Amino acid sequence: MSGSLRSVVALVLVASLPAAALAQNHASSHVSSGGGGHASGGSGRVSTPSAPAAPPAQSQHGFSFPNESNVRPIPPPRPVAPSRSVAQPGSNMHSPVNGNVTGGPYRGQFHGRVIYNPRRWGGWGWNRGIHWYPAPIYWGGGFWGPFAISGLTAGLLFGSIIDYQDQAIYPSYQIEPSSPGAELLENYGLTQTECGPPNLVVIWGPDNSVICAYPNDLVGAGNYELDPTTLTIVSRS
Amino acid sequence: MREKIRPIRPQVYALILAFAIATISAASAKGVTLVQQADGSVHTYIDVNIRLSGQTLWLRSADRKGVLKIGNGACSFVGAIQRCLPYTVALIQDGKTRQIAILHGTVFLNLSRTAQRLPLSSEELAPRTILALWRTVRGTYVTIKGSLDEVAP
Repeated sequence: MSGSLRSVVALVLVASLPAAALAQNHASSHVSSGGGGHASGGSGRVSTPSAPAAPPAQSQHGFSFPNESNVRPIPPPRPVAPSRSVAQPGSNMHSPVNGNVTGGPYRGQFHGRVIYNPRRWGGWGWNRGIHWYPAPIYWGGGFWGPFAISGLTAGLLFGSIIDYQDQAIYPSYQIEPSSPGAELLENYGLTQTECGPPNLVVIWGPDNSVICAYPNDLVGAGNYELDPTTLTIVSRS
Repeated sequence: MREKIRPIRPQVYALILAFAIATISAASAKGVTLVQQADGSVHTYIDVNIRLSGQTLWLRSADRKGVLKIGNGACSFVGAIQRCLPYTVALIQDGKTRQIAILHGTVFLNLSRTAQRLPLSSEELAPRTILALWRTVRGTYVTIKGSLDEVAP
């Protein structure tokens, strides 16, 4: 065999490896194991455990979710926690969720001074032009961090705003780095602190979410409403 | 003057062939979906077709009999990585649609042309690749990773 022919054969063999792997995947596209397996990479590589912990689950076709009953997604409790009544189990199963609800007890009262974001973001400019929609099952729509309300731990709780008149509690949570909320704080040079003490900057975000920060030269103490499209805040009138 | 015609070398043929096969393989890239039940048993689905339409992810099993529809929201960027929160999951199979209640999860999308590192992680996402992880209220963990087969506005 000449040198050039050998190189041709070698190249064809190397090049055909991914195709062979694909064919193998197609022939056996569903693998069950006892537990602990994980995917590595997006190229169809699959690792399976050596010692199954449970019998392999069976599936005739499609996807198998044997433990999942036909239930609607469960909306979490609202960030507003009325203290005068105890919610009945399941009473909020299908409650409408509106990510545009904001302002807490001061809803509709934010007609004061607009403190424009120093970065001067355009509409959704902070989000690379991509429209940001609140995800209704997450507190604050994930604006301050991807926190599911039912997955919250005490460590994330960062004080609260109590509305004694309406007997409602608006819990506040620690902002996660790299969240839109973190971008907002950085733009205004604000530092988050626990809600509760007086003379703080109180910012009401999507879905009645609230965070607090120390005042600075740009933002004085008081209540503010956030415009998530431009990361701009408006003070309460 | 005599014109000299040079034959194309076999290596060139091989290179063209290799390029064609590699292109076909890349175009057929599919995702992997792991479904781990609360009892520890794991279903691994490979060759899953992944389609992104707006903010909705569609996963179709290799046998084309099952579809998972994942509704995302609150998408924001961490560098070039788009991070979204899934809030609805529906399993469309056997002519029925079943809602799967999720507890929490995150979907990472790299729609850029270069590999991107995930925030606070050593993991990298290849171009046009997704990584989605979510947990249902019944304790089922779902992990999805793979190339996007289709992206629609």
